[in-house]
Amino acid sequence: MAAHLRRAYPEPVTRSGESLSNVASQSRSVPSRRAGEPVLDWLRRVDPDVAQAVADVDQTLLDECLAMSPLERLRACSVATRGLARFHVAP
Amino acid sequence: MSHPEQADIARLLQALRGGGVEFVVVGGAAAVLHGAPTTTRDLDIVHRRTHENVERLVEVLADLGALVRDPAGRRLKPERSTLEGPGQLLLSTRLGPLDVLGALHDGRTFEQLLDTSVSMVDGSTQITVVDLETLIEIKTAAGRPKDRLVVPILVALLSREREGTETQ
Repeated sequence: MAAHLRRAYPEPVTRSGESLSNVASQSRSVPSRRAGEPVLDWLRRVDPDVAQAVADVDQTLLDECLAMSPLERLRACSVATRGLARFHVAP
Repeated sequence: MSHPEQADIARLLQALRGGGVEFVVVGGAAAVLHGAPTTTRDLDIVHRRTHENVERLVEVLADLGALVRDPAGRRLKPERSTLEGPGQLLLSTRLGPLDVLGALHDGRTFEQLLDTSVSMVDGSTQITVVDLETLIEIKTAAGRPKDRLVVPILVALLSREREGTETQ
């Protein structure tokens, strides 16, 4: 194999092993928002199930998160992510 | 020494900003910065692809010991020429995974995202983050289960943001 090919970067993959080009190709071609159209109205058109779930969002969790500064939110996220990783069992 | 699998996103951001790198935060970290009580393992950024900015990015990445995440296990360092293109480079660093995107999947560049971004300041750290409406559009278009899960939360946050603006 030519040296320049050996040095080529691998195709980018997500940590679950899915190629990024595959992720991109699976991206949906959703209709664009009309000028001035509220986000929730647009979402009802393109993904009604997700739009319906907005009413179920736990507002107290948002309160807790919004009480933190942006960097504090990231630190809390990192702690939670590491905590969740401990529960991850390899197959 | 192997790199951690979960990013210390706050420190990664501070390292990039400390090195003078211009970028917009997208992906899960953007959701968290806006106040979403969700988790993410990496930091996704779209950087300005000017020669000067890529030089600064290369310096910071070298300091972070960045390597391309390669399933074959090769130790490939990110190269300047790649960072100047529109491709996406998935890296591991001593502060965890960092995805450096020359452009989004739909082709949007740093300059285009800047028009639909907000600036957040925390102490001495200033961060440019894609705004909630754009993040909702990106996540909806991506359409993966993990993206669709966070969209209702982002819409609820947008509603809060609008209420806050109206009462000011």
